[in-house]
Amino acid sequence: MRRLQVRYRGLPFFHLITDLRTETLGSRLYSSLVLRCIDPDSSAVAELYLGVYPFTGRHDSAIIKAWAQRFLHRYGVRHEDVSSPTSDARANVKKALKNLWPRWFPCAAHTMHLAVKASLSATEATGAAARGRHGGTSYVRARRASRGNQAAADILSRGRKISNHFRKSPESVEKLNSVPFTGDDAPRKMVTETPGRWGSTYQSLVRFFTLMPRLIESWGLQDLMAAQQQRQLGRWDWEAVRYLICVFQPAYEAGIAAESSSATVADAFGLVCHLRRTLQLGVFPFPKAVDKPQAVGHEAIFDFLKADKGHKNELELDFRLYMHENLSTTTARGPSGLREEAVAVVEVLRKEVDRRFFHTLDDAKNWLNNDAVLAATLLTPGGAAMLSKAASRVGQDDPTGRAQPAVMETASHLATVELTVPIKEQQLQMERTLCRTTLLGWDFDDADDALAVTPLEAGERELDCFLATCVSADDAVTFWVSLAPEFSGLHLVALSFLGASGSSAASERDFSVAGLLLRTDRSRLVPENVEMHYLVRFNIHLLPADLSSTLALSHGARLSTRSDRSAISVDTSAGGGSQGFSSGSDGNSVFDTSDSKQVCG
Amino acid sequence: MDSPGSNTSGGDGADTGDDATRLGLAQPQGQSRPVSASPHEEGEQASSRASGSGEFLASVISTYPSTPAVQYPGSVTHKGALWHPLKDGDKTWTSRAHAHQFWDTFTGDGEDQRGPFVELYRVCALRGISSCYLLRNGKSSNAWRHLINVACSAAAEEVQRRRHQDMAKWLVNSTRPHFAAPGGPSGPMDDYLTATRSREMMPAEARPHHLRFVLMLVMTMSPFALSGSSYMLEFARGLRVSYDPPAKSGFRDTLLDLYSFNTNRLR
Repeated sequence: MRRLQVRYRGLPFFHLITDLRTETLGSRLYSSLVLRCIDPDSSAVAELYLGVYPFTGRHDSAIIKAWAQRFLHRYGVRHEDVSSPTSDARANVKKALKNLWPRWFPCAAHTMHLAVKASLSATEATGAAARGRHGGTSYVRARRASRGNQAAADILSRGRKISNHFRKSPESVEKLNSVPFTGDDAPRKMVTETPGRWGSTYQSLVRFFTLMPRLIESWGLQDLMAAQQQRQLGRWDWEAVRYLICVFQPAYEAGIAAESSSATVADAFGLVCHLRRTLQLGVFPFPKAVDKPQAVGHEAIFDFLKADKGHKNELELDFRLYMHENLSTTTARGPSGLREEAVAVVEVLRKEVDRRFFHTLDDAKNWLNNDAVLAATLLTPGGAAMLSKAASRVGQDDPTGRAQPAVMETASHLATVELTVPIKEQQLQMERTLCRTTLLGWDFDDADDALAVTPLEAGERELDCFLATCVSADDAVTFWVSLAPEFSGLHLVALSFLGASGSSAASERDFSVAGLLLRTDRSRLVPENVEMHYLVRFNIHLLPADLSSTLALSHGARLSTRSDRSAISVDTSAGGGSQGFSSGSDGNSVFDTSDSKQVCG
Repeated sequence: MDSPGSNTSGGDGADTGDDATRLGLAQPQGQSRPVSASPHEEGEQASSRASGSGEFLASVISTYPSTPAVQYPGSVTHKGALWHPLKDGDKTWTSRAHAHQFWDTFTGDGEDQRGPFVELYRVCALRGISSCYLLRNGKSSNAWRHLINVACSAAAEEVQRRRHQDMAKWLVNSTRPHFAAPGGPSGPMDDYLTATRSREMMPAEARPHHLRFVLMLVMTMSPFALSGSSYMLEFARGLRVSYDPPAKSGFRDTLLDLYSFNTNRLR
């Protein structure tokens, strides 16, 4: 931390990712804190996992705020070191973080997932009504129908039941795999939706689709009971699965990419723009052939594409290549167009993406009004154009005018520090080069006077120069590191913004591992040991190869360390048993474990 | 014969009790009682006082029960050295015949093993439990003190003896399993054991191994109780390494050291 603080010369450079989770069966609340930044020396993303800690006290924003401050203080992180925080949209955490650091923005992956969830519960035709029109058997119970259960949700519910049947019955899986299927006869299993795993709904649907020929055959072979016969899907249902896959795929891809540990907030904003544009255009690839894929497996797919010579009319699903055609939401409904539930999903997704990322009345839900997002995107080569274009498409003012002051406001923190010897030598070499030439630069202005330029003015000039000349690059971080000599001040500012991640996936990864530790058979594990366990586990790379060099603390030092750890508590509360984690208890809780509402996105 | 926490006797007792070592697996072996007297006899006076109680003790523990648990091992390991039972006719530290019902004497071939003896106490074998201690320079006052005051004293109450047996049983089970008992040792006593359960390695020697062991548990999400599992200990023995994983408290201290190190690195 101290090295990075010195290296960034007073800039706020840390990006804070945090989340709170309650145990599944217990009442104890745990919190996760991850600090993220770009290490200027290695030009790599540095994620500092500060561990999973028992959170004591009331769960209100004041306590969370105090806790976060004390926690960061323990590691020597100053308030001014943090540039922006990210969390899910849980109200108490959001309020606490926004009070501390106004540049808070919501997790993009989480927000996309909420949009998908909303789209699944908002289609208008019920499954019973839809099948009734096409002569299918009604599987929807009257209770659900009365609640307005939608066609898409009904298909998902039925698919979930079939997956659960195969999950619980190895005999059925064996029978399924015994069905001959030329070219794709490897044994496979159904993918079951997992409430804690985003995107598992899409993965489940895709696996369902690629196993369709076998499923149809197996239903024909088996002596099915009445309940199993009810679970069979008709031709109309299989068509719905295909349509849902193609409309969910863009959101799935964007969500997965946003969760990447290397993705910056500018990348996340780009993904949101990609997703929005895809939904607005409303043209989706739709797998044509349902009986047999064109190629199966990595090598076969490469061979096929090689032979196909880039015609690009294939779609890969679950390592299988299918011929596809493009269908538009504007095409007439019916056999040649998208099904109504798929169109409804797209329409809701469009509204949700606009409402959650480009809300005109709520700044917290408008990424075009967030300084952290704007500055990071502006400092990404080609980002300025994307900002302007995205703003014009959503009908908002060009945010570039706001992004530049945000960058300069951060640049104003850049302190003039004593240069290190190599940098001094480099600077002297440059001065000598200037002494040996009388030629002026092509962009030299009469008003230019290097000696009178303050660091802030120099930063402004560098920013103008960057915006005028640099329009594209493969990787923004690599770009800025390579141009460090040219943009001596701005490159640090850029790296400080690009350290921000667009999602809180790092905290989710924390809790994913925590769920493996806090299980039933380890219910006696005390919170202090959980804390130590995670800090050691996630920072194992900090330990030396020769462990003997780690000093053994004296008895007094151990007492002192334990005392320091307990001092983090800001309030007291009773603990509970421990067994895994559940998602937050707020209104934005993504998953409902009830069957009818189980949506995993 | 003392527990780690009950070693409060002064003089030799401090040495004796503190040097608790572990038993190897009990192996039946023929051995006659040694008969020669020892120049280090310190407990003769005490033994004479206790001689009257010998029959009482014998009536309690019977005579040399031949269960596998109480048969002395073929050898014991202490501080990396191997100790062998005295052969018939070898010189030992006591000539009191009745004491032979209560302990066996071990010696070693190394230079450093000349003075001390390792004593295997069978006096706590009332429930098939034995424990083993080192008598530095063959001094036996603590052994005799125990024999007189606890084991063989008619004044000792049954509760006192039973507590002692429980402690000895726990100690033996905690050091190295004699039986393939599922679960291994666990209980409140483990919390009082702050160092490794044996002294086969000095703390400084054992520390790198402890660090690696704790890291292994952390990275594999294994329960901390694995350090006391009988199967784990048997596995270590099978590798023929002189290492005991840390006890629970020692485990927590080692984890705290790693935690503190990482915290400082993060700052």
